[in-house]
Amino acid sequence: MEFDETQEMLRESVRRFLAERASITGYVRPRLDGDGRTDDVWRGLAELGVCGLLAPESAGGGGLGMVETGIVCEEIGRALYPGPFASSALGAVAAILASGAEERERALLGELASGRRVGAVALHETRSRYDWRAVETRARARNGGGWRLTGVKSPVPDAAVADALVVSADADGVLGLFVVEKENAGIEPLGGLDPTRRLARVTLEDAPARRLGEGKGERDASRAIAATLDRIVVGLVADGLGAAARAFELAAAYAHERRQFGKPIGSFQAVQHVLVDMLQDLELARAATYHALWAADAADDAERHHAAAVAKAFASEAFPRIGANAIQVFAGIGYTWEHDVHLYYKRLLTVQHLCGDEAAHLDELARLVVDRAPPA
Amino acid sequence: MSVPGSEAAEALRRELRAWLEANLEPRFRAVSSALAASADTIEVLREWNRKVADAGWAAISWPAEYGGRDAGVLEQVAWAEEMDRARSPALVNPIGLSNIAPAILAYGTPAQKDRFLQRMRRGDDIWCQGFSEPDAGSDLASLRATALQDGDDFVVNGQKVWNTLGNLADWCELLVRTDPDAPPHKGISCLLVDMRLPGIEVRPIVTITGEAEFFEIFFADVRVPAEALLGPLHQGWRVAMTTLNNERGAVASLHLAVRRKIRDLIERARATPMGGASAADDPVLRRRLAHVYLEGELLRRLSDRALSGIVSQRAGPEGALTKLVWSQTEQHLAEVAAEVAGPEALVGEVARARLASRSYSIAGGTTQVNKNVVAQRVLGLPRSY
Repeated sequence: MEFDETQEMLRESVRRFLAERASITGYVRPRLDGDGRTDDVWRGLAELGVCGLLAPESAGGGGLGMVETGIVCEEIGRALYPGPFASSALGAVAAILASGAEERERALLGELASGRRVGAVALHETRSRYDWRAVETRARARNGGGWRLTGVKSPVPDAAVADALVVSADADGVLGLFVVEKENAGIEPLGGLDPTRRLARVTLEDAPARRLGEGKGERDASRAIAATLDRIVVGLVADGLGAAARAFELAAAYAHERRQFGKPIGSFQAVQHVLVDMLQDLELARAATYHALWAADAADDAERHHAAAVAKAFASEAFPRIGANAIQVFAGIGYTWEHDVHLYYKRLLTVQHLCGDEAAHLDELARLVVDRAPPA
Repeated sequence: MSVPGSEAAEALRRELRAWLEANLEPRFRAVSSALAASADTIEVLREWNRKVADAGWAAISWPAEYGGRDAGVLEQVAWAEEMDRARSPALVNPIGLSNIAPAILAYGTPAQKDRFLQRMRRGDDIWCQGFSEPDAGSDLASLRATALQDGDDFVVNGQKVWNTLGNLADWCELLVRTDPDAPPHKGISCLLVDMRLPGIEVRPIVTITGEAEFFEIFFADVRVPAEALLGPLHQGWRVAMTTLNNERGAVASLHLAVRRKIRDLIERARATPMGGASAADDPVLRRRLAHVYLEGELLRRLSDRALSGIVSQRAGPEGALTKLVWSQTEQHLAEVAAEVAGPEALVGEVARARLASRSYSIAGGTTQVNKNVVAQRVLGLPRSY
């Protein structure tokens, strides 16, 4: 798996832009008490064209795939950028495309692609834990067209800065995907441990909504939701990969610099072996993530889903370990608010728990390969 | 993003697959590897090896003039995948083909190449390595076996240990100290030694499994002719490193065998009765099986990335990590297999495999030495040993 030259240029330009415009000291830290709103940098990212990578050209997007989108996620994670890229440019766009709603939602797609509006995706509910199929939110058809949604979605990343929400709901016994405009939803920020990724609870009380892909294709949106979630999951893992790589690099550099007993602490085997364990976790996660990005664009549905489950099961196991080991290498200073390493750790914990933890994805893998013969 | 592959590798894959379908008879499949072979089965393995070699499939990375196909790394991987897919038994010279031949090809005289390579490829001669000693394990350069020049001969004395195939070997790639006054890495030479010479004694090492898996070789005033020297005198360390570094194609296909074992374990779990259902239905074992399956998939993706790094000349750390990950996966597999077997874990093949799995984090460099090397070479940290 190697990226081509254009993909490497995309990575380079996003990395440079975020380093210049959204540094941790100058940008991320001053916004730790914020709601995730990053209008100035968001506009800059939109000007770079990254908000429209996944959207079709007919909507003013780039018509590219998850490999390109994943590169941006990785750079955003590396920079701890708090903006809503994964929810809007990835999640909301992917949901519209997977629903076959490209034509009818061309206006919204265009606005998401240009960054003028922000989308967020609300698929999980507190009581259903990680099972996106167990949806208690109800949709009922309104006389004269349109739908009304009632239920609670939580946690929803980036809901506080979203203009439009893509929401799953039970519509007469089948799952549907709906768009709810923000003024029709109750949005309550949840705070939470990671100040770089804002979560919210979304309460819908008879909220007006329109159904994605209405009248087109399958009435049951389960396949569309599964396809959307696989892409969101891989984007999330790519975000964690960037944060984990940066945490590892900082720890390795510190092991070279920090001296105790007259030597760099990196000369002690106990410290070296922690760093090698981190490198092993990181490179395994990288290999699984890049394969899953590739599979999301180029493989069939079964391999796309399998690759996403592999990547997320391991990411949920290994990313918290990388973050914890990074803090351990920094030791005392790593436990302070002043040092940045806790921000990476918190970002990695977010990746661990959103959209299914290790156990949830291992159970999914068991369904795929233990209950039936595993693929060769 | 591109996936590594080439037209040449796919052509080789099709040709080999067809050849294996036509030639791999069931009786060959009954024996898996020379490492566990008895006197009877080794003859069957040799017969299979000759068949493979004579069709040009035994050492495809070698130059054509020695019976190879000048195959690149993608073709080597395609070869390994097809041999695994067909469940071919291993060739009888696993160490000779992948570890010793590269040194002979790099440093051998024309006479040495002519004499050894064809016979090694066909399995006519079986080869072992004489590297480790009782006091030179991870610290190989501290080896003490000596070879003193006496007329046209070297006179070899000392003891080697952990010799795979030592019982069957006709020849040994032997590391000896030829200059006792030089620093550790400088005074070593490499000899290609006929195992039938007088003064050589091979004794089995009975391992944790109760089997003679490895051997010790004792040398008492063994007269080895001067033409046995491989490469320059006193520069055997360099020769040996050719051997140890020449495993890239092999590293990229390490995942094949362990993934096959994982698939077999899942099948076995489904057939193992437990609480009115099967072991594969137990919620705890399901997760354990899924986790070891996950590890196999991670190893495969790491290997793929190592391979694509080689092909595209991107220097990456994947190759250096593969052995670590492989050994952990093999050991976890053995543990999960035991949990699936329940009380049956104490007997039979599951028990044997459980014990044998301890060697994976020791043989070929312990996990700890491996981590030291990665810390030093990949992370650029100070040498800590």
